[in-house]
Amino acid sequence: MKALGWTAFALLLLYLVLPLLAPVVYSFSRMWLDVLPEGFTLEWYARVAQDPRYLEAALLSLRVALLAVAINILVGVPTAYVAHTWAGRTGQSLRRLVQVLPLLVPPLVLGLGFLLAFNRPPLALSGTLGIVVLGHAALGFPFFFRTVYAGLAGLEVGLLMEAARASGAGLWARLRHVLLPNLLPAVLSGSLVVFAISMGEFEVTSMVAGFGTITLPLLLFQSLREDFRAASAVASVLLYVTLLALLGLTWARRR
Amino acid sequence: MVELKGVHKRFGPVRAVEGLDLRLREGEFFTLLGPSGCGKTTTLRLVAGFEAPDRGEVLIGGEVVNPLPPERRPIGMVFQHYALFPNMTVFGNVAFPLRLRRLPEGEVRRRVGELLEMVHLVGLEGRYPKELSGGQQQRVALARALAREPKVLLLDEPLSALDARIREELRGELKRLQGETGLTTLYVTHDQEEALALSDRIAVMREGRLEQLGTPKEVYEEPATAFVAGFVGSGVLVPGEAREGLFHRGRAWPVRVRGEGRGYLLLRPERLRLDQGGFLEGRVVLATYLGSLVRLEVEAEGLFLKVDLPPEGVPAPGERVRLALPPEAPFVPEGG
Repeated sequence: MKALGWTAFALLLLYLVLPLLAPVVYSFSRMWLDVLPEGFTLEWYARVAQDPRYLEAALLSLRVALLAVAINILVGVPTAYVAHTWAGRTGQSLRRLVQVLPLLVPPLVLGLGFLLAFNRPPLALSGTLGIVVLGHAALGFPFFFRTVYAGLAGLEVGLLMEAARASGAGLWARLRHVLLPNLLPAVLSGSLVVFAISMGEFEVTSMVAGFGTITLPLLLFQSLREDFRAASAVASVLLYVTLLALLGLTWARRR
Repeated sequence: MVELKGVHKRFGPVRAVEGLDLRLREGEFFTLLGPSGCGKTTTLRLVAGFEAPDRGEVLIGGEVVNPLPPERRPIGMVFQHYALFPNMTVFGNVAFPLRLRRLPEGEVRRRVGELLEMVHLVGLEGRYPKELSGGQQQRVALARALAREPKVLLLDEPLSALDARIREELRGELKRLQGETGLTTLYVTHDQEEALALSDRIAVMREGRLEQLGTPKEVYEEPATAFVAGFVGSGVLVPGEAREGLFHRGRAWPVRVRGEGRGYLLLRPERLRLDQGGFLEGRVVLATYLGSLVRLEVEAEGLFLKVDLPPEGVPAPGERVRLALPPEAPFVPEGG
């Protein structure tokens, strides 16, 4: 049994960790012909940093990710609250729908859907920043919703809101002093997930983006053909962003 | 002080409260007692404003409060599971109702200090709820409820989540605090011992209706119905008949009763004695040691009677004994 476990673990390392580490190793090396690479260098990172296209794309990605997070906070927190408060079958179905549906739909289908739905007035968003943001927000929503919903359930939020009402708190005071402060860790970790998904998103973006909305992953894909070294440096940067988000998540959960 | 007039409340097909009329006196400790599902908690929530009656009126301080939400009713409430705000310290929790009223910070400090002194929590101001024991949390909740200076204090099974020892301690303090503040209090519990120990008056509820209303002594010694007799205290209901002031079961028993016709004699374990010349002859079935006393179960004339005795020289199971009956005992008419 133990041997089987170790074998499985080794295989997991092979197909999960190796592909993740490869671009990082590649991005720091001059040559990689044999088993191990040779010649440590920061040249590729320097090249990326000096190319204004990368900086522009990175800033765009950052903007899209922050907007996608903002949309999820504005829409996702009230939705989760309503879903939590609505007992009974309606609430249950709503919950399952918003939690699972976007996870099961292939991103390509979602991208096509976005193209078709936002193609004509008054929602002619094709090729704009708006449609990219909406796409990313939709992709992140199930994860965001799940996290906030779990946070609400763990808080016994209904009871706390009743206690606040019995203390004389109106709706605004209840939201401001009781609901939001207690829900903050869950909102924070949900936001980090949305942020990480958005920063690395390729499929939906590639379908809905226009010439003015080249995000970092799109640029990465383009530059694969011309400069493999620089591309691996960009890929590594995206990986660092994800790892940072993960660290943030762990920190938020611990609090 | 608090009044319910013809209040009805149903949840779908369930009739939670049916035509309830209650009137709490100023400064009274009033308890709603009954098994789960009897409508006692719904009644409390109707007074708090968390539920709206389908029919009838709820009055607090002579004013109809039906249209007011809980935050605008003059109430303070303590919940079974404390419901303290986890993001606030002990100080913050107690200060919350005061700050909502926009009292100056100095005044808030002074009031919170007083309240924490009342519930013996001075020194714990900076702690968070999760750093407190259950008993301490419930004291904070009590201080928070009092902070609003309510006209009525609503307590929803506040002791039932606590350990037995803490429960008894806090019960005593609750009684003392209520006496000191003179605050009209509506208390909900399923624990008859708690109700007897705390209340000025008890309303026993069953299936959304009032079964009996009276002082603890009245409810215990003169139960109006078989349900009350069975729910409050322990005892055995002996079916029979009341005739010419005496209880009859086949023959006349030497027990004076009030009433006439078929019904039940309530024999409490503390009112029966072992006596060589006792009226009933029986056999000890079970002896349970309870520390301060021993409870015997005695089979006599087809009845299983319970007798409480001091723990010395108790007959063993199987021994034959004679039981002396009390000279008078509660009688509950049939169909009550």
